[in-house]
Amino acid sequence: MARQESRRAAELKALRAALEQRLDRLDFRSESIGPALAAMARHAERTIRRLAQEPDA
Amino acid sequence: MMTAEGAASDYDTDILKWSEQQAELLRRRAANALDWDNLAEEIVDVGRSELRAVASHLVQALLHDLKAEAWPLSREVPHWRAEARGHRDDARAAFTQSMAQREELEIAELYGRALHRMPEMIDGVPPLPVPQVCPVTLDELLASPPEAA
Repeated sequence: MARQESRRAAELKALRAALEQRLDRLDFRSESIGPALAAMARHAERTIRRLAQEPDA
Repeated sequence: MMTAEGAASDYDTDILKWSEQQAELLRRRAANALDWDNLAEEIVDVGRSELRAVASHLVQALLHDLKAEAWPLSREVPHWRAEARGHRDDARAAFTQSMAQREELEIAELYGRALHRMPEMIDGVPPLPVPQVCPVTLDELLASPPEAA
């Protein structure tokens, strides 16, 4: 259980790093900022849902 | 002696037989029996085919790198990066300088083709945003990887 949670924690940490990297790259004056943020939110939400559904090891 | 008309007919019905016959005629310097028009077309096609192969490898390289960018947590990332490296290697091996200015290798066009082939979802997860303008030049894409220390 602890091992599985540790893997999940590592994946969540990687997700956070990936999202922060994208945020750093975004041009907040661009018209595409809205769709980009929405895509990031969808990606994060589905990834977290997938992690939550994976059975415990 | 085989006539050019007979050879032209084989060109349409049995390309293997035609190519072997033409090779033999070339070896014998039998200029009058050669199927000149189709031979010229085939020679041009050798270059075109190499150009298409380079373009195809570059699109595949861009697509695999894009997938790794868009789904950075996927367990497939090492595989995608390896595929991208392999396709860049194959493109570099087939690339010649005369191809550099050809519109078939326009980087924006190749990148557009790669973006078009991106899946909408992988394992139920939509992609993170990726650049809509190609972030690398053709030279960078074809550059040799740095030597391992």
